[in-house]
Amino acid sequence: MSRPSAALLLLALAAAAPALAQAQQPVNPIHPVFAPLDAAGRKVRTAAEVSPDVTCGACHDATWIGAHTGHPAQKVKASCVQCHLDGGVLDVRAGTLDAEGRLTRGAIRIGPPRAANCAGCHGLVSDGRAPVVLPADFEAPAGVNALAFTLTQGEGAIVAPQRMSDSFLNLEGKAGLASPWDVHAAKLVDCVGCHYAANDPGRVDRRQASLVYLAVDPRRPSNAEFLLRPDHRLAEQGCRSCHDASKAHAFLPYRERHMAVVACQACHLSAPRGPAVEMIDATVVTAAGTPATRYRNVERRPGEPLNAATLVPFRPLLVERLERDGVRRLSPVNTVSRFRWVSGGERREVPWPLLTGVYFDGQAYAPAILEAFDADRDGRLDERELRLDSRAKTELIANRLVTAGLAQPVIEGRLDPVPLSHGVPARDRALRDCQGCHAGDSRLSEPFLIAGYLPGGAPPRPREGARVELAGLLETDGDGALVLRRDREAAPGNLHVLGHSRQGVTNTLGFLLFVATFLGVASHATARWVLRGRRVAQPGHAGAQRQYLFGRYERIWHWTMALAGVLLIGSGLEIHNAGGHWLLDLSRAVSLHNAFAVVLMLNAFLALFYHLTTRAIRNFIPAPQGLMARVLEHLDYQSRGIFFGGPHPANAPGAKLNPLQQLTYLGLLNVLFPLQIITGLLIWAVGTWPSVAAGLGGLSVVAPLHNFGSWLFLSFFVLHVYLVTTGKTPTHHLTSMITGYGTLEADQPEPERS
Amino acid sequence: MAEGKNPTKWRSGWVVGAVLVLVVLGGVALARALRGEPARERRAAGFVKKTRPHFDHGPVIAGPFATPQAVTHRCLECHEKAAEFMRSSHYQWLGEEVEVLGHAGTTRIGKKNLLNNFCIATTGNERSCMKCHAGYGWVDEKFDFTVRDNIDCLVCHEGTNAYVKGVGGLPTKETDLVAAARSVGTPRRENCLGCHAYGGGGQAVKHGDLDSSLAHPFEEEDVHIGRHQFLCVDCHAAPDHQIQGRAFSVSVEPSHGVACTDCHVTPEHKDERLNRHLSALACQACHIPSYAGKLPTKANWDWSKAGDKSRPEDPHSYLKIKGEFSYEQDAVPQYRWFNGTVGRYLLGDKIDPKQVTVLNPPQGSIADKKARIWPFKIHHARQPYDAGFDYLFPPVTGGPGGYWTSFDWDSAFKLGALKSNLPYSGKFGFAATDMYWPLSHMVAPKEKALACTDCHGDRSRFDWKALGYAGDPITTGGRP
Repeated sequence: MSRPSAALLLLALAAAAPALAQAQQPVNPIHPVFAPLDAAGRKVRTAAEVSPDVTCGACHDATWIGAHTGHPAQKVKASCVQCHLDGGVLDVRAGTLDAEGRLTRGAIRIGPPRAANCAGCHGLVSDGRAPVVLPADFEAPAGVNALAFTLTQGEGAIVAPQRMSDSFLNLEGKAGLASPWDVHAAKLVDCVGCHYAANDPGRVDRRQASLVYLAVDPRRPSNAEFLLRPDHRLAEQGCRSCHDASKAHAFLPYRERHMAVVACQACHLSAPRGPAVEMIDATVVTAAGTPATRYRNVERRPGEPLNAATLVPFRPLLVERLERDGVRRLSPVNTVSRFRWVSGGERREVPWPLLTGVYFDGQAYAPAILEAFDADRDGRLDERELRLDSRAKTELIANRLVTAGLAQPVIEGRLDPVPLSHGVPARDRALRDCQGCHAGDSRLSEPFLIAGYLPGGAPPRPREGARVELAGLLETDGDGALVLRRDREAAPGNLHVLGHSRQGVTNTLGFLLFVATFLGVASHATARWVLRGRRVAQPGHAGAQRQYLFGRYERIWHWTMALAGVLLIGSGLEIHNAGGHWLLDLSRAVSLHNAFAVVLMLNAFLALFYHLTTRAIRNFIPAPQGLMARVLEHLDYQSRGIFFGGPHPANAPGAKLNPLQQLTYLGLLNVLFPLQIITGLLIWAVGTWPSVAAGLGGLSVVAPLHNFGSWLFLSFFVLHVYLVTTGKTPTHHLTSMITGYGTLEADQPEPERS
Repeated sequence: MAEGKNPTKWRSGWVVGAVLVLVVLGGVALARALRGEPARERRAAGFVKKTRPHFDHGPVIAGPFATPQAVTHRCLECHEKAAEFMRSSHYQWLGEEVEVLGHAGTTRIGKKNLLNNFCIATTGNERSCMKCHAGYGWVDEKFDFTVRDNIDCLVCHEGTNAYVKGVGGLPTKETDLVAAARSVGTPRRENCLGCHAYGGGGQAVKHGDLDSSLAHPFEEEDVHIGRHQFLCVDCHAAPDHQIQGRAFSVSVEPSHGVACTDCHVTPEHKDERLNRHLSALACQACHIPSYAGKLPTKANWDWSKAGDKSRPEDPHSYLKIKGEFSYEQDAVPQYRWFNGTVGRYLLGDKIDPKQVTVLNPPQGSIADKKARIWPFKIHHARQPYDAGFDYLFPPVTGGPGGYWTSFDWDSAFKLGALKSNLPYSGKFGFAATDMYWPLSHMVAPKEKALACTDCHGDRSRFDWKALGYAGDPITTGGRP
């Protein structure tokens, strides 16, 4: 089948689809019978003469409704019948009128708007069984006809109960897409389920239903008042009006935290599959008579009909958005850039037919246009050629517009962030991959294409009053595309995202400290090895006696601490880098880290108790007398004696630890331990008691501190492990911590037995 | 240094080690506890039976065999116990004693003595009907059911696909008995389908959910076979050669049946709203969204139009010997309450020829707690009856004097009266009858199961009022 005939077939199917799909609006048994009237209030006998405002306004307060509607008249002409009747027309003909000119009961098929009514303007909304296809006028310029497929073009949403795999569209991985296009539609939650008349007494907003002891809230309108003046500023119920997210998501660590900062859509609309527009370039006219439209997720060959192209899921931009409940959360948006010609002082849009006349001479492009645009001289303008990407081309069109009678034609660009909220697929298609956000190069900060090129070089101006902010830098990259670049340091809304956010200065400092420690240790070790031949005698505790140094509990305490420390450092590094291994993914690493933090804290508490009650704590307290001298003595040994076989200096009388160890542990136990425990607890508390951590500056303050502390710990660990090898033999100290037996200096008094 | 091995030291070493092990185990347990519940694993694949290679009978079968009975004789030499098959309904074509609704006492019913609204009855037509009898030589009422060698082992167990049964169930002359006997093994899908997919005189005619495509279906057509490679006998087990499973065209109650819940013990729906449907719906209602998806099945059969030699013949619309019929494909089932029992029209029962007689009316209603809504294929027919005595009649069709040679209903009735001992008044006519075929095979993969909007809302495939509900239960509530 040739391409045109395939397109024709699809067109025919698209036209046939509504007819196949529509089950009739049922007869309304309680709506009074009424006479259809024309604008002058006379009874009419044909549908064309009917004035909805006068007909419905006979009983309903049409003027008041017109003033309280979310479908404002100047932008969209939505009349009563357009939304409340099938096909948007009253069935007025000889057969449906009685002797007095009133509609018979059987013709009164009036009810709440149904999917098909909304679909009339908002895009691919269907409740039918016919396979989903993109209508033929999908790409027609807005304003030429009444249709604007905003839901689909803006959000990539297709609102239909049908399984994706049953639709006509070419979807990537289609066979496995058993999810419906919209899980709400599939579960019979229709448009008015969320977008109902705001003062409908039958729909009580959860926020207003707190007075549970009231069977009827007298402050809400009665049915009669409601029917007279239904408030058509339709409700926009968010997910949380019906769903209690805390009752699901058992798999998710830090559930409350996720719910507090992440919008439901961020995970549940993480990969829309409907054709979502990236930019609509209405400064040019394509051969099909439409603006040049670029999609985010459509792979099509030049001239291929949209229904034949392959649709792939796209990654929306995650930004902070003020949600209806007043909380800022990370929400997915698509951005649509629109470029058009405007003219005159008040910058009126150039009418589309006029612009078409500028480009076309009859059915074909004007010779001057072809001459200027057709770079490869094949007589056709392909997607890359039909662009106002040079001064010459832009001026050519501007001049032709002036010739057509317009003053000061200029190109105007507008950038619309469109929050995603429709076309939610089944839950198994929700983002469940921690890496998706927590990895360093995740969707939180990846660059986002705003417009593939800039017609006339004009960057689009973000729409005012949008409830989202596009934080980041708009940059034009090498091939002329406008890209939103974002900083990894600051996730949207200054969120600190574990694994993704880098902790700035503290992280760098900590890392440098660690590197310095490592290099120091490495050079020290190298020097010892190189100079091993020049050592006079065995270093360390020459002639020392073997004795019982470490009691059973001390060894248990030490090795428990060592084990917990190693696992904490390991899992901590994993969290720092957002995991990503099957053995230790982020969620596993977090729970392991939490668990061994508990082990470490218990162990530290028991050890403290032990050291206090047995007075073994004295080993850790440096004796002030002669401390400085001993420190210098030990430093001298570590920097000289150890290489050339100098004698190991003595500890303070009665101390198992040398003064350097004592000072180190003093800092470790009194500063680093409390710091890590407190900051760690606060990070954990963010998940459960957000207000506690928020009081101290939130994650973005606490997390860098914890991170810096971790680098210090890691440095200590390296140093500690290295110094273990500086005993009489490299394994001497290690053995003594396992068996408990080791040597101290012979001339020292026996240390206090524990 | 050498005295390092003192006993105290090593004892304390054990304690240190044990404590560390405990710490590790405790930590890991804590980590698991903090991590929350693990994801549930898929269980369905676990039900697939592991088939082991069958013993190769090639070396132990010598042949040649003069008669098919000789093959059976050889089988029974080793498998003596297999003669128990003679008790089964596959051999007897009669079930156990049962009570039939509206009839006093108990009786044995089966294909041998029942009427259907396809080829009507086996009585008098044994020569061709018994092609599908798992025995040898049943050509008339004189067949001896007690002779062990009359069992047909091969029809179920052979694996050549070249074993063809003919008159009275005897293999055709061309059939290579030795090859068939050497190939025996576990019954394959082809063995079962050889008869069960061709009931009613042709491919897919009768059931709507059984046809020869089930030998190697795509997974969209049958998830058990297509995705998980089930054999028929994985579900239809045959302890003591008594094959499990019930067809409600010939059975009236569900004992010895096979049910989804035999394997799917706990429903796997993650959504509690779906599980609540189980008190009103059979699994099949949602999981068999349509029937005859691959090959068309017979929907209507009008015997009264038979015998018109002027009409052009087409096996899918008109045959002179059978009358007029229509087929349906990928059809939406009819939904009825069904509690696992059906009534049954027995030979000699009076009918009202002005009404549609349902030969096997499924029992149950919205008030019956045991009943669930099931999907059915309903086969409509107009079939011959005795207009004097007002009962459905089994005319003889095949063989000399039968309708298919004489095209004379009167003579076919007279022959039928002789064979069935049912008096013939001399007047005949055609009466409308229905048969209900509950659907259980060709279960779709879960991705193709019905979803909310298939039954609820504007486009429901259910007639809620006819099922006894006040309206769509999503708004009016389910049954009390």
